[in-house]
Amino acid sequence: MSSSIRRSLLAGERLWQRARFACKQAPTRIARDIFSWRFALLVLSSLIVVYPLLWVVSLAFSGQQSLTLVRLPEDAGIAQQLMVLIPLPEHWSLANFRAVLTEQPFLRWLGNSLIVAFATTIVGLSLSCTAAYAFSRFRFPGRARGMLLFLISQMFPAVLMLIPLYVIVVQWLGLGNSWLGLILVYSITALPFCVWMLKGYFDTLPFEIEESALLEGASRWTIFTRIILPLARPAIAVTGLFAFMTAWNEFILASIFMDEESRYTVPVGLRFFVSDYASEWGFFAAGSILVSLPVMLLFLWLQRFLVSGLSAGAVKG
Amino acid sequence: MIIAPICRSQLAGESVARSKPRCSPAGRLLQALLCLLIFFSGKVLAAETLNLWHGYRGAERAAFEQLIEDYNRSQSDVQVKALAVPFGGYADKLSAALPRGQGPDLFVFAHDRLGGWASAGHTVAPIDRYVGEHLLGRFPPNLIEAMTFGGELYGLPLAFKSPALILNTDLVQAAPATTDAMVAEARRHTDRKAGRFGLAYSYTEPFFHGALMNSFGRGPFDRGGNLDLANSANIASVEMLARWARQDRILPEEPSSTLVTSLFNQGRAAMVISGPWMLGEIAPGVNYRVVPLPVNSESGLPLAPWVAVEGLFLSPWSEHPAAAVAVMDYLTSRQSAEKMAIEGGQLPANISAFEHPSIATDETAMAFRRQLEATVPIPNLPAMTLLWVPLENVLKKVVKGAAQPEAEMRQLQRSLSADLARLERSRARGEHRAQMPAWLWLLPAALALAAWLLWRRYRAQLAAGWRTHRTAYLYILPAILGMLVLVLFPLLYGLLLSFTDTTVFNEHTPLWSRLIGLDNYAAILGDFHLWRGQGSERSLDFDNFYWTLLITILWTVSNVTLAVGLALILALALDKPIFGRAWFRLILILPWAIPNYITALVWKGMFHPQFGAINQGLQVLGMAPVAWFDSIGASFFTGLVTNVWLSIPFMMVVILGGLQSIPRELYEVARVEGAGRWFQFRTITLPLLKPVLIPAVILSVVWTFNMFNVIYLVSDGAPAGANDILITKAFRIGFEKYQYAYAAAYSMVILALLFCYAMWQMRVSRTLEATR
Repeated sequence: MSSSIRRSLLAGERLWQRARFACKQAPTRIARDIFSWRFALLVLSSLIVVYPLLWVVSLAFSGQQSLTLVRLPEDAGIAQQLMVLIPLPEHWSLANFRAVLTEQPFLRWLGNSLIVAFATTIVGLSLSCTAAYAFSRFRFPGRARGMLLFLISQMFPAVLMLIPLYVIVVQWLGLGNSWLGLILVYSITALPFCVWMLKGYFDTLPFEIEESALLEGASRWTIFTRIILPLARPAIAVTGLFAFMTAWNEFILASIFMDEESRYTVPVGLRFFVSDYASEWGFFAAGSILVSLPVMLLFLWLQRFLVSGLSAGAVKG
Repeated sequence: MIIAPICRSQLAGESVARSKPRCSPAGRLLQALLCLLIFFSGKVLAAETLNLWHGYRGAERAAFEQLIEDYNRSQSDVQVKALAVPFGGYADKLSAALPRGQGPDLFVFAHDRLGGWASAGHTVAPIDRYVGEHLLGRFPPNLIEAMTFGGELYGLPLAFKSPALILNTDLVQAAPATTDAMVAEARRHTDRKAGRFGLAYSYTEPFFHGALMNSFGRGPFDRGGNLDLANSANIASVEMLARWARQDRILPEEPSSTLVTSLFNQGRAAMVISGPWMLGEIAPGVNYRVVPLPVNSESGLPLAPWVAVEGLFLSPWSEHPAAAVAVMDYLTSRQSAEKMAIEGGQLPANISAFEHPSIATDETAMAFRRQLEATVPIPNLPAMTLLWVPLENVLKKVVKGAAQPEAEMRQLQRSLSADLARLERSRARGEHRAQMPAWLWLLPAALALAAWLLWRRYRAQLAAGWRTHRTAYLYILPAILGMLVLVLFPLLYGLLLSFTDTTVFNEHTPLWSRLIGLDNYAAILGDFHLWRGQGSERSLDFDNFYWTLLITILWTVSNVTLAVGLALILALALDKPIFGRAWFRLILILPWAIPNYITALVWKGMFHPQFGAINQGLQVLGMAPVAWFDSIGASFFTGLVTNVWLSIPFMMVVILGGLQSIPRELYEVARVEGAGRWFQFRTITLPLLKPVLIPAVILSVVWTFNMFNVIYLVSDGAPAGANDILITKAFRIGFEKYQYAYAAAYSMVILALLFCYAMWQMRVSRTLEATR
């Protein structure tokens, strides 16, 4: 786990180096980039994306549980008044983070979540890659109906699945209070998207490679593992991220299935800060930021796969 | 502590490590074997374990768990194992586990759910027979009343929580004696332009409005427990609130507990009505004093807030009820109560604890203690659960001037009576249990016969199919199996449930006595009551199925269009190298990475009409602020913006991945041929993106159609449920109105609608045969 984080950090470092290198190398290109419409669009949308998050960040670092309400200065210029609307804590403090990390076994929950989420990713991907490959490459009776079955599972409102899922996982399978139960449910929840998405990607891969491999006597399994999977790396990265997120942020099933605090996942732990009457939003914000860090590291690491695949890969044409 | 020794001696002989019957029959057999082994080896396990669930955290939790540890150390027969469950999942966890024989031996929960649990059966057990007079003498009668339902005592009160008046002593020194004095004082401290208010509290929440309502002497139910909302007393209470909000203008708009705390901490609210839970959040520099609420000048009675009682409840499945009650006894003893009060900051239900010197001198605790004399326990009737949300909607409408108190209360009385009558009908049906109809036996037999015939008929074909397509089937088998187990069963369960009239009252009766056929579907699809009320009261009925369907479709279409469109633009902008591309990519997926529970609430805060960043920004730019949650359109917009913001990152990542599979050479060729950018996009990008885009669109339609969180957290269906979508409505019917079967039928209708959509979409785009 730590090595994957280190690797992600390295990836970030490398990106930064590359950026600096690029700065030195081609100032004119950068200038051209910066003054393009595309860049303006990206900056604008980044600002829109970041603004609400700034409230979360400033709440987390304020050391308080609720935000100071903005007071518009009466006779200031428009620019100054707008500046006031940028949320920044009055005093920066790490108190919230400290409390979140020390008052409860937060790191342990984070570790539990990592285990569950990675296992979900692996189980979900291996189930969905094989299924998607079959749906994409074979013609067999029940194929369309099978695809539809995956879709139907997403249509039934999750709120009403709670009790039946509890009955199956806890009562029938006896998997209450175990991660296995959670992993099973999460990976199957993620399956429909993964299967549909991967099937879509597999459809875009040219058939010619496979046909020539078949002619040379390669088995289906070899083709699948040696040709298709490497080619579909961008798709696998995307669906893997999705499966990871499915498990990472799920709260209600985890809190229902687990009967021991040391087995809670991190979303369950986070919800301790929110209750009917009083909620400790400062802790919740700090915890949310901590929870999002592994996701960002994972994404940094996955980014490399988003740029390779068929177009950059070895098998052109 | 009289019962404890007795039960211990009773149970000591048969004590066996208690592990709940959660495992399969095989597991249970193993357990039995294990017990036998232990028995024969002559060693009796030292202690039985009692599981206790609670929802405490912070200091309260530390004190509580310390108490339990002390108890475990003080004796060796019973070991109590505590589990803290976060509030958001607690009720669901209990209602999933308890009716199925799982869950804890005893648990701590607020008393207002008691009626629902007791009616549902198999959730809580009465404790009358374990409890003596001396034990009951510890608690004031109104707290015992809170723990009683249908004449039976279901638990012991542990702590109470009620609102009182909190003064900022830098602004207000003397406690107002009457509401008139309070309002006069509040008016002096109100300066709306500067964002200062004399009084702040979550006045649209029925829990807080209870203080006013009860002070007129009636309350929502009459003595017999029948709903009696539209009497003159209750109407007067709503009128009084409307006066405070609209004439005296002493209250802030769209109050929430967070807003109330923030206002108080910044000295912008001179007085607030809140409970002990707020004390921990008051900023260190703020001087405050807690006093009991004043006397209602109109009725002459004191404002009587509702009190929530945290009680210790007993599971009906507990194998050691007497031992569990002994733990309750210990936890509510004076010593424990003192510890919980001093170390945990709790207001103990065992009021003798208030005599402890360090509590008796604590002005704040004593103020809540005095307030307790004038409180009314929240009615624990199941009907109360139905009241919360509709009453809140009424209060919201009235304080905004969108409705008249009297008309609105009458309307509410009518609609709630109808809901209650439905529940009552199901209870009546449940009482005279029907014999299992004979045809029900035939059904499985017929199904088995049909299956056998089909198998006979198609066996050869199936076998041949398997032989020829074995590889394909093997590849999809694991995934399909998983789907079948975890999806098909819940679906069948929902389908079956939708043909019954299951409510909280007849849940435990056998299925066949609940079967009502297609009535639920007829009621949903035949719901053509688009209008409600007569004459001037006439308004659109937002509970209507077709209205909700319309909103759901608008919601889905606008969300998916915007999210896919914007994500496509961003993905295209990020596809080709640009300065800082990796950073942009990372920033743009942030909304996906951060738990959306908090970001949705941040958006809600940004849309606050008085203090939200958006309205303040509009004002800076010289525009008029918008009352975001008052009109259907604006409220719809808040949900839309939040959801699009939340769903763009995911869509963008999917499209980015899809763009990678488009061979760059195609663009080069196109450029050589002299094709423009738009032409390239239309003829290369879009068609080649289709295999990826279509499934993503279909799935995001399905997800958006069922997007529960954003609606629930941001607009919460405001105004008055007009912006509810089908899924939130199904949730309300199931969990706020206890009509489980009706909610299941709603879900099946949702499923059918989405299924039709998916069929149509696939026919249109032919994705299944995309590239071949």
